[in-house]
Amino acid sequence: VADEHRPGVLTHLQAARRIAAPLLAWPLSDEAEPAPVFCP
Amino acid sequence: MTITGHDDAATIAAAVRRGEVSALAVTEASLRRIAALNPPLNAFTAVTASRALERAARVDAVVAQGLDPGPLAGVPFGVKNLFDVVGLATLAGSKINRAHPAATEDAFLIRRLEAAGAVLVGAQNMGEYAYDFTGMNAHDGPSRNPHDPARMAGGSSGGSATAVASGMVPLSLGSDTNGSIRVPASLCGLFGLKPTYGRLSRGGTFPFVASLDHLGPLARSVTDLALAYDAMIGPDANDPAQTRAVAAPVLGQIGDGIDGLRIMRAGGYFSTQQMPEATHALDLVAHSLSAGTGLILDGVTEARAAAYLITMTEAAALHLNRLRERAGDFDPDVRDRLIAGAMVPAAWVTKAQKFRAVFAAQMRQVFQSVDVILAPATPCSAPLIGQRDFVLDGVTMPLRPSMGIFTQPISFIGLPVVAVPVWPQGHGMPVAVQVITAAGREDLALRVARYLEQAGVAKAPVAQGMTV
Repeated sequence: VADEHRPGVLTHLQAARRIAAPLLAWPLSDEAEPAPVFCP
Repeated sequence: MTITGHDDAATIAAAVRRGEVSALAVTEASLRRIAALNPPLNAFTAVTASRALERAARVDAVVAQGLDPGPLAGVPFGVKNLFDVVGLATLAGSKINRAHPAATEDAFLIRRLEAAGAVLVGAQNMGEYAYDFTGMNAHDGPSRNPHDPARMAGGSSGGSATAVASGMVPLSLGSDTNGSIRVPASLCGLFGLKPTYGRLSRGGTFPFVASLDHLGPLARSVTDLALAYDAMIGPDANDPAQTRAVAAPVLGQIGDGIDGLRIMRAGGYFSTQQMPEATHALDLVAHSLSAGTGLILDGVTEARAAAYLITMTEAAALHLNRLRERAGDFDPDVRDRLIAGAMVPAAWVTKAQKFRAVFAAQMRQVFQSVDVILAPATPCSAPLIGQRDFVLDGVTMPLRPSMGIFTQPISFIGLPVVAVPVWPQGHGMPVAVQVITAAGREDLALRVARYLEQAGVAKAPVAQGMTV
């Protein structure tokens, strides 16, 4: 990552971590399946 | 008969079909409005005048022969510039794609609309690679809101909304990954339809986040949304995500009213983080529909988070080579978000996809006892161009990603939504409400929207001062 891009990238990563926090804390069973991207 | 920029697609098509006005005259008038209004409003990035005039003449020839010119006969329309248009490079709002060869085939939905008699007049401005809720574009300039050109049109289908709200055309096609039809519909005061995921083919369009991308129409009447939707449904082998379920036309049902429908206003997440005009708009709609209250949906914050992560990472993967080779040619705001997306841990994304299945199952359960859910479309009406932050519930938030906080959780699981424009008294600018239904029930959402339109609660007038 170019030096001049780092501050903006860092800001977005911090925002992603903040927004993701409740999702990452949500309890899911080990058997939970990801949503299919499409149904064959 | 004289057609003006205030007439909707249904009115135009009916007049052309009856021979009261020619498609050529309608198209020429639309092109005149674009020539006059586009310089200050910046809705179109390319105008396909020759093609449009040729197409209109063909529609008139069909009418002259006494044959059926189609339900959208002579209706001018524009498309967001991520749709392939023969002879144009598919920009997707970017600088980089300008070097791409011109498309040799129109996108599937353009072909469907033209088969129904409509006339394509050009390609429209949009946020770079659709990663935007504002209508800003670093390369082409912002799409401006016709109701107040100092304000944002919303995005990423900003030019598509500007063109309809100014009366340049009665109909535009946009895309909606996280809210990019519903947000500009809200800010520009239009009806917008985001169909069920997989309902309309995305064949011949530049992707953003394939697992979330939808296409749909923006218009000034519910009848126009239904006319366009009916013309566009149909199978296309070029979109592997398209559902195999056969879609039924909806136009015949939109006037059926709301009797018997179980309509609920969403609370909890959807009653916070909004300015008074958004709350007031939802109050007006809920009151008109006698909607029930107290519907609290679990996991909406998490659904928005999951959509946010999937968007960041899938879009980063799509653009990785361009980021490596031409980072300087991106809009800096878009570039930094995409680079960040390339660094998000895979475990987060996997969890987001697992949560998607959980949330979708939960919402299917909710729709066992509810037919329609109402929620705000945006936290506020159109912000000023250049504004970067706003304050919601006392917290300063970045505007660009936060305009979609109410739309993202819904498109995340592909539910159909009609954005209905409301004009809270004394506010002066529109703001929309989302009418949300179960997957595949576009008919119900359009019925409710039509009821609100007939009741005068929802309306989408051409902006004042736009008469040419």
